[in-house]
Amino acid sequence: MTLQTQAVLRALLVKPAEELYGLQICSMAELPSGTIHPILARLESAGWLESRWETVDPSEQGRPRRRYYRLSPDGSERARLALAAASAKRSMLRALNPGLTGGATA
Amino acid sequence: VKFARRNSESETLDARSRGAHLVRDLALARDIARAHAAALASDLGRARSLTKNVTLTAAGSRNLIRTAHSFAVDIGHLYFSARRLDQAVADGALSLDYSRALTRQLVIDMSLAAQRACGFAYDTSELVGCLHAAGKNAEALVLTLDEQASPVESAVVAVRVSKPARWVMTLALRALPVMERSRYAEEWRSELWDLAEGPGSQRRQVIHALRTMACAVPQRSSIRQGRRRAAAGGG
Repeated sequence: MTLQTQAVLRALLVKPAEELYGLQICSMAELPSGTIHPILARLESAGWLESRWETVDPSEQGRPRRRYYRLSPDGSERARLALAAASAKRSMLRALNPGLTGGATA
Repeated sequence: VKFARRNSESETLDARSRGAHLVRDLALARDIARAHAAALASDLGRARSLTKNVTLTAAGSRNLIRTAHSFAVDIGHLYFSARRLDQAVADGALSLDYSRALTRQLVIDMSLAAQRACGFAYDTSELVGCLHAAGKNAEALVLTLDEQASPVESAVVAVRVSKPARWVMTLALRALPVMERSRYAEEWRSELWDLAEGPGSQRRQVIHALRTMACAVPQRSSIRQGRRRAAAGGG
């Protein structure tokens, strides 16, 4: 699992029940905007994420609908496990090489 | 007297404040007028360029008609020479000198016709070039006028989705599978709208669009992997 994917999962796990749209996830994961869609597509196709369109009328709002993402119940469990595994691996690497500092921060 | 003095001081302050507001408004009005003047100058430049191209196109068309006419005359000469030669052969009265003269005439007519054909082709290509340039200028002019025709309130709200960003997004969409394009088109458009509301929006939108484009290929492979996985799971 890449560091960017871990950052996205961490951002979504802050409030697992809350739905977030792309730019919000970017800012919470501290990733540059426009770079998370491949990650979201991968997680969604793996069943970790659920997505839905914003329930507004674009003509009334005068703007396009947003796409909201949320971790699925199964996905949030798997995300926690995956993050824990990644964290353990990082700790092991740090123990092996004390000079090594982790990539993505929580 | 004191009351009157205080009143007059207060009025002076008010007048000063109003004066400052007036100066600020005037400066704003001057800036707007300058921006309009610059836009008008740009439009005029485009319109001039368009007029020039249209004039060139008209001249090119006239030349083309003239060349086409000459070409038709040459073809006519060619036809008559060929007919004469054919008639002479049919009559059996074809002496060697006469046949040479007729053949020479035919060759001359053919070479003239070939030259005219070359000229015709050249003029046609010139005309096509002029029409293309005129079309481009007209398109640019229409785009500029469209931008200026947008209502003033849109400028006040300052939600302006950058055209280059939209263009880049459209390019990026082409990298995605056809079935997913409409979904991501709307999603990405909404992101541009959200970015358009912030400061320095145009630059941010373009950067966002470029990043999205850079990630379009990995995204396509993610989508395809997901589909393959779904197909394997379903089968």
